[in-house]
This record gives sequence, C-alpha cells and structure tokens, in this order.
Amino acid sequence: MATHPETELVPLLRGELNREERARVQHHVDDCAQCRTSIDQLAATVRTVSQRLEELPTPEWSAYRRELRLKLAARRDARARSWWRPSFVWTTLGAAGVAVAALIIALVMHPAPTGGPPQVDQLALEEPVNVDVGLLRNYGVVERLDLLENYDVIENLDQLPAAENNHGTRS
Amino acid sequence: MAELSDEELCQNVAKGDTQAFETLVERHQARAYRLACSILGGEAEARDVSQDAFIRLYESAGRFDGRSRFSTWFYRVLVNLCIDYRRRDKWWRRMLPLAGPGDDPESPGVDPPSPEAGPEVVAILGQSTLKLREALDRISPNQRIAVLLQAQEGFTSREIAEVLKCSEATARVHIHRGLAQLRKLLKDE
Repeated sequence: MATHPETELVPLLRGELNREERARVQHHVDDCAQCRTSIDQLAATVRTVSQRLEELPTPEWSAYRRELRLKLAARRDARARSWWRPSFVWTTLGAAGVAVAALIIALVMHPAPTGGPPQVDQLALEEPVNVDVGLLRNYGVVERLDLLENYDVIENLDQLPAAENNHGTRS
Repeated sequence: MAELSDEELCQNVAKGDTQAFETLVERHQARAYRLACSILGGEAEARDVSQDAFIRLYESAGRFDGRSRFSTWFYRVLVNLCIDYRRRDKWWRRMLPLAGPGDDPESPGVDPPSPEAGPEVVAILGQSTLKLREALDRISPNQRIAVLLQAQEGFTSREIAEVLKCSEATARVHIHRGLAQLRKLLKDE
C-alpha cells in the first residue's frame, strides 16, 4: 500500500481537489479502510468544532458596535490633533534649529564674496608678485576691453615694420 | 444595503460610506469575535482585537483590491492582529517583575494565570465548549487558525494558505494535524 494521502483527505471531502488529484486520492481511499475511517473521524471533528464554536458566549452586539464607533471617533480626533502635538512641535523646532546652525556654520566657513566687481588694485594685490600683469595695471585699459581684442598688436606696436610709416608717407 | 456583497460594501466603505461599514460589522461581528476568542482565549481580548480589525477595515478598505474574497482579506487582518496581540502579551509578561509577594529570589516566579477556567466560566460556557477551548489552546497557533478558519468560515486550503502566508500544501498539513490532534484531545475528555 502506498503512503496514505493524509493531508488530502479533508480537501477530498470538501471537493477542493482537481480532477487528477481527486481520482488518485479516491482510488486510494476505495482500497484503504484506514483512510476511510480517517475521513469519517476528520469530518466528525470539523462538525464538533463548528458546533461548539457556535456555543461560545458572545457580547451584546449593540454595545459592541457602540464601543467600536467610539473607538473610531477617538482615532479620528487623535489624527486631527496630531499636527499640533507637543512632540510634533518640538521635532519641528529642533529641525529648524539644526538647519539654522548648519547655515551659520556654512557662512562662517565659506563667506560669500562681497558684492560688486573687485577693484583692479585688489586684483593686483591678489596676483603673485612676480607675474607681470602688463596693461591690466591700468584700469583705463580694463574699461576699454574692446582694445584687448588687439592686445598683442598694441603691445608690439613699436615692433611693427617700418612699412607702416611708408604707407603713411605715400598717402 | 443588505443585498450588497461584502466586496461591494467594502468598496463603499473605501468611499467613506459609514452605513456600508455598519452593515459589514453586523455581518461579521460574531464570527470575527469567535475567531479572536478561540485564538486568544479571552473574551476581553477578543472584543478589543476584533474591534481593532474593524477599525483597520474602515481605515484601509481602499487597499482591498478584490483579487481575493473579502472574508479572506478581512480574516487575514484579524489573524495578524491576534498574532501581534499574543506576541505583545508575551513581551509584556517578560518585562513584568515575576517575583512574588515573598520576593524570594530562590523561589520560582509567579506562574501565569492557569488556563483552567474557574467555576463561573465553566457554568457560562458549558463543559463541552470549555474542553474545546482547552484543546484548541494545546495545538500550535497555525494549526488552530487553520482548523478554525475551516470549521467556522469554511475556508478552502488555498484561502487558509493566504491568511497564514504559506503554501497550500503547508496549509493542508496544518489542517490535517490540527484536526487529528483535536480529535485525540477531545476524545480524552
């Protein structure tokens, strides 16, 4: 005799098995007196449990529902009030304090540049001493930035070939 | 309202229909209470926990997606609350000082209340129901839930598996072993 399909006996009783399973288990049960007895006993136990559960005392239902409504209302009130709870207020204040402190620290560590363009003198001071800033020493040049487009030409004006002068004499 | 199915009522509850909620409570209050009572063992706890389950239903009706029966979804909520309650209960028991009035560290701690009911409870419940409760208390929680859902709610193995979050084969094992154990315990009475 194959292993008894114990766990499939209740599903067989309740018609939960698919066609294949049902055929297999039913075939076994037909040949197995032990499983037939088991099925009867399991069915009787289910009936007993079901009947005795019905005998359990129950509360007075209208009082039960009234209590439930009160509980629901209390929860709704609690939710509505939750935004101003002391814990919420303290948490918010704490978070705001931390944010302000972080902002102050950030400002102290990395001060923002002062407003407006830096002065040329200031620029010169910040440059390393041995760097030649050329025409930038003269603020007038900076004001005429368009001239910088021809900076190389201007810087080397005196090295221009004499042809320029010749051109001037011809005209 | 009474002719609507549980699933339709639940959809209405999700839209804020309190009348639909009342109808659902009336339909399921007795079974929810009995199931909680059988799992937890006490009337007061069963009352509290089953009411909590209805509050959850009211607040999360929108999450019921209709893929399973309403009862499967609702009893899963209820069973989870019962399991949580028992866990919390045990946790509190561990935290409570166990020393008795004599406060002798050598003496054993105060025992938890006896599962045997007093004479007044016996009078109310009747011997046979009391025996069932005692027998249910002796089988494992999963077996107890599986047996109760099948005997009281008529749940299939698949639905019980959904509630217990296990495979259908495991649910069948719980049902079979639970019933076999109960039969043995009730026969001994």
